[in-house]
Amino acid sequence: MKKTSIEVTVGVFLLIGILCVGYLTIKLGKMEIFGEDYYLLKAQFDSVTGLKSGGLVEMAGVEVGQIDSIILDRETQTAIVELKIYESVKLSDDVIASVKTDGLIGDKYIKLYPGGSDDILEPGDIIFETESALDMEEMVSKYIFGDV
Amino acid sequence: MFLKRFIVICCLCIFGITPLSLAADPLETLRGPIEEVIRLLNEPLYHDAALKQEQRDKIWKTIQTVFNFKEVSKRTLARNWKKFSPKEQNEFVDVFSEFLGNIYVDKIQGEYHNEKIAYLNQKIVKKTRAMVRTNILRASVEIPVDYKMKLFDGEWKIYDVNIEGVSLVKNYRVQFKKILLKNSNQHLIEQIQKKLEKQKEKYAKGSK
Repeated sequence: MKKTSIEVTVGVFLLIGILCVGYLTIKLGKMEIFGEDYYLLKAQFDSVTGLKSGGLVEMAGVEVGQIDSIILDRETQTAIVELKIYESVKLSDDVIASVKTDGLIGDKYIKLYPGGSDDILEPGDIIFETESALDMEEMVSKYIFGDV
Repeated sequence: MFLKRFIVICCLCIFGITPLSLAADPLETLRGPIEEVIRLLNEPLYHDAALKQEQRDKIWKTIQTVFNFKEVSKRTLARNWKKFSPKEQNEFVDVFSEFLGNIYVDKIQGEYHNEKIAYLNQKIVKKTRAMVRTNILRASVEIPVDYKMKLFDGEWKIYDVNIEGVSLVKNYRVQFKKILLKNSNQHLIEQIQKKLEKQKEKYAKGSK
């Protein structure tokens, strides 16, 4: 009898342990089982140096989605970024998507500057107004060596 | 009856559909005014300092033909555009376009050193919006300048310019949003008006 209750207690603790590990895996791996519903938008950039899938998409400093995937458009040799935007966030077609750096040397993320147009972007639409990542080295070299 | 319908359909085809399909290329639309501005800048007549103002006016007139300043204003104000009354909207478009024009023409007139323009390509999205990529070729540097254009009544007009990847509309959108969060619409118009007056004072001093 006593042996059974010890086994039950161990079992319960083990179960709690497994649940905790599962919860941490989902949270740290940024998987979305209990997360908000989202829709996908695409944005085309000349360069997205440093941007990673799973990165943040924010508006006014508030997270409004995540970067789903980044692929190379072979025809135009530009980067196509797929964005997962929360269902509750509606974006107009004049929204500007810009690749930004968190601090001076921090992670890259996408910042959205909302527009005021009446045309709302539907799932699968392309954000036409984009600003690519500023390549500091390229800029510096251009203006230092360019002035010779 | 059939003839009437036929005439109506013909009219629709001629006046309704063709403006879109016959609309000149965005790149070609842009090429004309840019070449004209470069011609004005190279014109030996305007090397005379006294004629600088005349050159300025002509450049500004040429630029106006290819920009849609109402759309630029609308996009820079974003959601706040609808909070402006029609009178305020008109007032804003007037002062903001003049303010932008002064900055733009100043830069062109003051910093032109025989640069050439390379027209790279154009990309048309949803038939009504386009991006034209150009490069300003300086002696040893290339500066990428992309023009965003939209079809208005069959004509391609610029509504945003990206220089080195930085958008003109975004730059002002951020600034105006901040100002309008704490201040009235009229305050913003007055603020631009004040800047305009300062610009005018500068020109008055310059021409003396």
